[in-house]
Amino acid sequence: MNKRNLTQLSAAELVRAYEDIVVQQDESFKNARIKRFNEQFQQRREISHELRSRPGDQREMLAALFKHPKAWVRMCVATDTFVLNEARARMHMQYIAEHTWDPYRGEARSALGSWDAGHRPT
Amino acid sequence: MPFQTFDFERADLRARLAALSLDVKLLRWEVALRRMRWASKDSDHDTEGPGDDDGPYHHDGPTQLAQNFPNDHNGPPEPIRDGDPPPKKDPVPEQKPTGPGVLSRVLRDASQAVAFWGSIAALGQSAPWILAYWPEIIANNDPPKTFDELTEDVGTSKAGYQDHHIVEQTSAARDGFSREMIDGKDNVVKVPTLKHREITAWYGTTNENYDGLTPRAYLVGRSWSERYDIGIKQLMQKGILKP
Repeated sequence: MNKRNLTQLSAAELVRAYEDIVVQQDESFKNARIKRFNEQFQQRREISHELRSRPGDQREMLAALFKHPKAWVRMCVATDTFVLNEARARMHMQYIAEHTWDPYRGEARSALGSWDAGHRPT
Repeated sequence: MPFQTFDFERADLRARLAALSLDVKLLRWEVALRRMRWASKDSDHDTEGPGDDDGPYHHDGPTQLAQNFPNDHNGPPEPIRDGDPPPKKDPVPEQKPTGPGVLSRVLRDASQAVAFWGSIAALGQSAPWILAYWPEIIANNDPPKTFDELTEDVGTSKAGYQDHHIVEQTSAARDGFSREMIDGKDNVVKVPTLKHREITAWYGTTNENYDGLTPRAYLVGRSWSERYDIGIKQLMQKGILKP
């Protein structure tokens, strides 16, 4: 995935690419494949930054993925749209912290704790 | 030296008694785990008591929260289909996984199966290799403890648990903090092995909340108190330390 390819994708295609990479990242996360997880993080970040760079900051398009069945996908979307709607991001993360199993439960609590401590996405 | 006849009858009796003793211990664990589940039940189910075996989570339909809100992406989500369905009763593969990350995942799944279904005996019937990991599986279901309780067994060997440095030791040593501080009684606790691995992984994974750095990289050059604060919060967020 390179920058030139991303600029040629529509917003809807970027959202699909984001979903694909985050679903793969979920597998890496569950199996503690940290190196792969971190590589996928960078790819996810590139997509998010590309959406941000588009007129009006089109990261809001990711919000459609709040309906995704996978908790990890919803956690990533909450983090990556935090600056657009903090209350919504917190609500989704809180739900995952209270209604899912580990490792998602612990990670959601970690994210909420980080946000409360001032470590927030930009 | 005269040859002594092996007493098979006595050995057989000892083996049967040992097996019975294990069964009793396993049953006691099951009861303790059920009590733990009942104690953590959702307050919406105050009328349900020890006779209910549904566990703390809904698993047969939409959750209470989702039913009260409109179904759009700005309100609470639809019932989750990943993460909150009940764990499989026996998530253990017949062959032991080879990768360490996959093994931890299987052990965590087994731990959740034990917590949810309250049955230890079912696990391992088709995968006896899991029996060697009983201590890790059981320890992973410990309720949160006080700080004093977590420091009780530091320095001793305890199956299913590992000593954990609240401020990561390698990073702290590199930044010049003394071994006295790093290994001090306020910085080392005994935690379940599987949770220890989760915390270590958290420090090493890139995190958007830390400007895309890993928390470990973020803490380079930071103060002891900031490291300690993050470390303590990790223990609480992972359900190890009581808030």
